[in-house]
Amino acid sequence: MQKLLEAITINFIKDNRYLYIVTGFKNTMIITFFATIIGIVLGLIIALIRTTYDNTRKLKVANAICHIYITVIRGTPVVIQLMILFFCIFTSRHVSGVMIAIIGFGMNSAAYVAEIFRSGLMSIEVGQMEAGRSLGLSYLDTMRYIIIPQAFKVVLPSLCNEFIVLIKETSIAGYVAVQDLTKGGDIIRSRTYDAWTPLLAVAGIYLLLTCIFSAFAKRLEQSLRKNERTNNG
Amino acid sequence: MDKLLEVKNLKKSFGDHLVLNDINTSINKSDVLCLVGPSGGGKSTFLRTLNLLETPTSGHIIFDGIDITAKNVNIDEVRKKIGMVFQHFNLFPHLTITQNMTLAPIKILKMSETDAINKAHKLLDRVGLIDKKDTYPNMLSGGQKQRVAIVRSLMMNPEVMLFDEPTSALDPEMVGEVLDVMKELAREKMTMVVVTHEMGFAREVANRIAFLDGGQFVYENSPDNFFKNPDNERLKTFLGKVL
Repeated sequence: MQKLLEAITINFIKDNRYLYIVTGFKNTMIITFFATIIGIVLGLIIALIRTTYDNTRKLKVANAICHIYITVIRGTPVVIQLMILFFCIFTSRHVSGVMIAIIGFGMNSAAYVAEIFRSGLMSIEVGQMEAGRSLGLSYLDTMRYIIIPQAFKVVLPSLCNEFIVLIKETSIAGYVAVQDLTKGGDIIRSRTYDAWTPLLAVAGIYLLLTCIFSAFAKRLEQSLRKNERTNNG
Repeated sequence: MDKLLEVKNLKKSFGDHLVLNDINTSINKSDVLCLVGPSGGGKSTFLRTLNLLETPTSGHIIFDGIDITAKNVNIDEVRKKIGMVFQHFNLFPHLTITQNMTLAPIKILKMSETDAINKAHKLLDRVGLIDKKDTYPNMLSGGQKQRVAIVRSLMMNPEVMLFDEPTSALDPEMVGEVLDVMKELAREKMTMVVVTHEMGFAREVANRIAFLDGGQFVYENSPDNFFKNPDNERLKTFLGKVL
């Protein structure tokens, strides 16, 4: 017990070392939050382009571009993508590491989210599109009011899973000089030569974050499911 | 007679398979045309070309004087005036019954929400489903769903209603309630094209019955003659099986 208190004092209290964790946590949250938004928006656009091509054979060029994008992003490690952004593309130091991490993780996530959304859009039966179109709704309006809301419900579990992966994936942001949660813990380790305490603390925080997010996702899913509870054909 | 729909040399093929083989017909206002025939005969495909859910391979469809197969036609404008009811209802499961009905009028006809809801409730009342107005489709029976699908189409004040086997997916005891709604529509002089296996309904309500087989209108006549003096070998065989 005495030992534990000592470890906590040295690792977190002395020299205000807890601030490494606080700053790291803040950066991890910022990166995850904005990367998520980029991922959803860009992913949905890509999914719509690809689904539209599958359904109507329109948007051929855009579909080809999306296809290449997904292949490249999913076929290369995210850490390499980040380093290319950091060391090759945004070489000017006006762009902060956090910004680069947001762009990098956002673009990476978009490729996965696109495929998640696409599977959701494809899972809605053709009759829904036909019913919308036969009422006179345009293709886009039918997508917007009829197909996407239903598809969203279908993909919600996979989408949540993707974001749990994303939260943890941001732990490599340290490669591009971002002091995220992992890096924060690592800095403390290098100062105190105590690996256990800061790394376990960091692991605990990630675990807590993903648990909270899972619980939130579960509630969202349940509230979206309300109109499905009774089913008599 | 006012011609509402005219079909000229209509052909449709899926790959090598010719589904509609040179169909010529016209539909007048207040016609109730029933399409019968063996499955695979092209009934549903023909019906679905009338609002371009299937694009014809060749031929013309003239609706209200406009050739809707022409390239520059805004098909969404045309479809506003053509209602369609599907075999599997195709209600929107994420919307309440009222929302199912008001979505299109609000978005397309720019009807105010209050007006749309009032109209929807009047129509629901007419088909005996006003107590279901705020429930979701999956809480309804098949017959109820199909009645909602019909009034959802009616919200757009269509000039013609297309029915694609509207009772085929229903339990037998629910067929009657849907046919009753359709009969009432016919009495109100709605123009209807109905793909059906309900020979009783066709005989009672239609003013024309057409027999489709092999992608062609093989035989067409008034209901009386259609059943009493079927002057066609293929039709005789078919009627022998279904009656």
